[in-house]
Formats: sequence, structure tokens, C-alpha cells
Amino acid sequence: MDVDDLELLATVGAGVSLAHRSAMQSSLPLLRRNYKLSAVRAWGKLSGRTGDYLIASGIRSSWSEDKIFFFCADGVSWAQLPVLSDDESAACAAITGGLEGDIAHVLQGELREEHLLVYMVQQIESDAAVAPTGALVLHPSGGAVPNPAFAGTPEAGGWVALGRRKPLDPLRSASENRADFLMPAEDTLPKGGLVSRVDPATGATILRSLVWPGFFAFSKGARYGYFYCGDGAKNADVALMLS
Amino acid sequence: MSDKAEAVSFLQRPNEKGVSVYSHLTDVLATILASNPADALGAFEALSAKVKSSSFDPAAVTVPPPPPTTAPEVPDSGWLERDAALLKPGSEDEADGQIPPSLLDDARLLDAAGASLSPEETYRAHLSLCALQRTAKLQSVRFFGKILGTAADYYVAEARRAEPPEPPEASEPSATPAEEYGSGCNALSYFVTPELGGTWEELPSVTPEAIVAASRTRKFFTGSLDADICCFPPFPGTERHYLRAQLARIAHGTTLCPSHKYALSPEGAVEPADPEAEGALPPPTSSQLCEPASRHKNMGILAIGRCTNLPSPEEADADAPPPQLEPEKPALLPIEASDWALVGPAALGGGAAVVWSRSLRWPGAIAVSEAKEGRYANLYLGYGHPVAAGPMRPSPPPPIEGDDPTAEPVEAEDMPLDDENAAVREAAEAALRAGAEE
Repeated sequence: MDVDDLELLATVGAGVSLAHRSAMQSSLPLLRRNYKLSAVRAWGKLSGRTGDYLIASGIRSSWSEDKIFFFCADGVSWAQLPVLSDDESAACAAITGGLEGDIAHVLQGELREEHLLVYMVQQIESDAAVAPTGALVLHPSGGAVPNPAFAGTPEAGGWVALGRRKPLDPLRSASENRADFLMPAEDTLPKGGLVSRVDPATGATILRSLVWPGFFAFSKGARYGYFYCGDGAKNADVALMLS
Repeated sequence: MSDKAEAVSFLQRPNEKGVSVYSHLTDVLATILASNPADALGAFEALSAKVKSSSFDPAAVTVPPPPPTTAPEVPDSGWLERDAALLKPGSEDEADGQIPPSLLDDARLLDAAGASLSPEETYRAHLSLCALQRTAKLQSVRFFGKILGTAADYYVAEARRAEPPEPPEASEPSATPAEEYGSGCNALSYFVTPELGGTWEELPSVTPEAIVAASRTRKFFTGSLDADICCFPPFPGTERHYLRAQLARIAHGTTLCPSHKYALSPEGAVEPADPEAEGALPPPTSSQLCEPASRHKNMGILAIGRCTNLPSPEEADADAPPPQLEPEKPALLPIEASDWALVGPAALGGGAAVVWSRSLRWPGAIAVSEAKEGRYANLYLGYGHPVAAGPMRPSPPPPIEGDDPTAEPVEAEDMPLDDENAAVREAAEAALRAGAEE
């Protein structure tokens, strides 16, 4: 999400310190210029045992997949996270401990903390990232782009999951397929794993994920975004914890 | 001439889309001349198909629905009126002996750590705490934090009362008696509210079995205090007892203070440290200004669910060995370094720097300290659960009770015939008498 919108999520505890917020106001546009990206968004803050990492996502051509991720500790100097191979992903999936807080920390063999970090970020991005219905449309190149006619959804309007595409329905017209190409987020199992409420003070609709505690998405008028603030662990007991 | 005119008019006949052979050929030739391809003859079919597909087809256009013109209405459940009433500038008179809440000062420390609510919500919380202090006549009140729930969140305030409240009606005595109000786990009162403009509700005192049960239970809070907790083994109470138990565990596990600020009185109470007393820690040197808050402010909770062990029974067997009691954890114990992540320092201006510790056992608990003026603050913003040690394994139900395998079956004696007949005769005579009276 935009750094300026972070205050809308302060009510649920997804906060970034004042120093980091100010630093990101200038360092994220610099990142966008240096890497020639369409947009750079503040993605989240992952906490390790001894330190935190700020994560930013860079959008190239598609807003729903194929993003590149950057990390930093101070909000100013960002470094790109590596792209994982399948073996490295499988090895990261087997690791049970959390992040250490030191990017050079060696986990096992060739696997370092930066691999675990990008694995966690990609898991959360593919599983939990959402956008309001109608905010993105399908570009003929296959990626998702922001819908210029999006002016906000009413509160009953739902959310769509960025990581799950709908199969194209040949019986619908092309423009309908372009507008409605992502699965609704409410199909996430278990039922009740996503909680959406309007914050009466700001008028923003805030969606929180109970499957990934610390993941929050907001939608206010035409502005929307999501932020993750936690330790990167999935809540596998969510079905038992819901009443 | 008529053949040529007929041929031209035939070629100019439009189809249902308004395109004729003549106009299509004109377009294709115009495209070829404009784009000047290298092999025009070889690309002729492709160009023709491209021109055909790019022609305007009014039937294929679907107009998308127009965007909503007005902003959606915010659901108004009276929140706006209650908030306006809260923010109205009222009388700020403080009663004697009451310490006003320090939330607005602490918010500056917490914002440097990135762990505070927005400035508007902080101000609203401060006004709400002042109103609570006035109505409930509390000696001091602190903003504890926010517990997130599924249907509604809880804002929590931790307060110290001048006089203890009336004790509740005596319920059935339990195996482990609860601590008295003012000591141990019940040293402080907790008030919760789902919205800052609404009324605060005080949570009841916590019982040891609620704390023991809460350490086995892991359920999301729903936001309504009377909700049942559906789990096995069953939780003794409703959501208000579960919430109170979790608040006790969080407060006694994550409230920190700097080392030199407090000292233990001879009775064991925490009071501000006297710098001239013997044994007092010296004020921090410049190298120690970046030391975090590192002492627990409250006593630790034992496995039995109390802060203090039960007093040993008076009639103790002289031969029986004394019961094994867990050693008590007094206040101002240093923290376990593995339970906290130290972050910082961040500049605060005026030569002061803020360091903060994030709890690794209770995600969402933050302790911030600024050593130059000795200020510190604690806040909890989270779902109210500790980090899970492993995947949740709900306990199975107990085994079904069977018959005692050692007991021999005993034949029951039937009632003697005379007794059975006597009972039937009595019932018949009573019915006869009742019929005769009618």
C-alpha cells in the first residue's frame, strides 16, 4: 500500500515507526526510478528474533503476479530479494523456526535467511493478497492492471484474491471476462477466515485475515492496499480457533 | 457500361455491419499504402483479416455499468453521536488523589516505535480514559491496549482503584481460592469497551482455574462478553472470564519497566525507587541511555494460576513431607533475553533516544523506554494469544465409563406378592373413595 495510507491501519496495530515512514516516502520512489518499475508499494514488516525487515513490492507489468520484492532494515537502503528455485522453495517449506533478524544468517547448507524471507513473502502474497472487486482488470498481455474507472465499492461489495484466477468463461463477453477474472476472497477456507469491518472513525473498510494473523487490507473510496505486519507464520489452527 | 455499373453496385452492397467488398478493398489498399510492407502480396491475406477484425461492430460492444456517483453511506449505528459527545470539551477537573492517564505522553514514545494507534484515535482514547476515571473514581488508569476480535475489538484499560469494589456473591468454593482484590493477579482492575465513545465495563476478578484453563484454550475473541467458549476441556466461564484471564497473563508476562526506576518495599510492593537509599541502582550513565526496559513490573504467574502459593494448611502432619511448592516470582525480576526482541534506538529529539522491546512470546506486546528522562510505556495490540508451541492438539474426550469388572453381579430380590397386592388394593380403595366423594 501507499506509505501515506498506513495510518488507516494503525487502529489494528499494523504500524511502522515514524522514522521508517518518513524514509519510505523518499526511498520508495527512488527504488521505482532506479529499477524502472510501474509502481512500488510498501508490502509489510516481517519480524525476526533480533530485528525487523521492511518489505516493498515492485510492480512491473502485472499487479497480481510476477512482482519483485525488496527488503531493508532502516527504510532507506533497499536490496532486492532473490528469486527462488523449486528446490529452494521446497527446502524453505521444511524449515520450522522463524526468522532470525540477520539477513546473512545461514539456516542449513546453501539456504540463508534471505531465501526464507522471500519464501514467506511469496506465500503470503499468493495466499492472502486481495483487492476490492472491480479494482483490477485483465490486460490483453495476461497481467492485471488498475481499472481507471474504479471509484470504490460499497461495503457489501467483496474482495477478490489476487493469487487465484477464474477460468475464462467462453460464454461471457470479452469485456466481462476482463473485468471479472479473479476468484472472490470469501472462498478462502475456512469460512470466517477473513473478517471485513468498517472503521467508523475513518470510513475505511478493513479486511483482516485470521489465517495469516497480521495481514490487513483496506479500501476507502478509490484507494486500496494491503500490508502485512507479523512474523510470517501461518495460523494452521484457525479452524479450531473460530467459534 | 451497365455491366460495370452493375458490378460496382454489387460490390458496394453493404452487409449487416455496414461493410461492403468495395469499402473493405479500399481500406486494405489504404493500409498497404500507408504501412508499406516489404512483401505486400504475401501479407495480403493477413492484412485483409486484420482490417476485417478491426472494423467497428456495434452489436459486440457491451457498455460497462457506470461507476457509483455518490460515496457509499457509512453505516451509522449511533457511533457519530457518541463520538461527538465524547469529544465535546467538558470540565477537566481532577479529583484529589487521582493521577490522570499519561496516554498522550506515552503516544510519542510508542509512535517512534511504530506501535501506537493513530493520533486521532489516541486522543479519543485519552478522553475516554478521563471519562472512565471520573465516573468510576479510579486512582490511576492506563491504556492497556486493544484486543482484536472477529465481530468487534476490545479497548482495554488497566486501573488501580482507591477502594476495592464489592466482592461478588459467594460462589461455590473451588479447589484453589482466588487471590484477594489488590494482590497478585487481582492487583489491578480491567475495563473493556468495544468503542471508545461507549460505556466501559469492568471485568470480574480472575480465578486460578480460569488462568489454568486459559493456558489450554486458544479461541479468537468474538467481541461480545457473554459469548460461550466452545472448546474441550470446557472453559469455566464466558468470554469475559477468558478475556480477563488472558489479560492477566499478558499483563503479568509483558509489562516491563526500567531497572532503576522502582524498588521493592519490605512488604513486597513496587514503589518508586529512592535514589539515596542504600542498594539503589545508580542513575544511568550515558552509555546506558540505550538500555531497554528490562524488569517485569508485575509478579509472575505460577502454574497453579496464582501469583502467590497457597498458605500451607495449619494442621500439617508432622510425618508428611512439606508439599512441593513452585518458587514465587516477585516483581522487578529481570526479563528472559530470549523472550524479547530488542529494536532501536530511534531518535526522539533533545538528545533522547527510544529503544523498544517486542515480545516474542506474546506477539503484539511492546515495551518502550527512554532513559534520559526515565519515561517508559507498555502497549498490547494483538489477538490476545501467545505464540503457539506447536500445532494445536485438542484433548480427546475422556474414556467411557464401564461397569466395575471386579464386582460380582448380585440378584435383586423381588417384592413379595402380599406387599404388591397390598399396594394395588390401597390404590383401588383410594380411587373408590375419590369417586364416592364426587
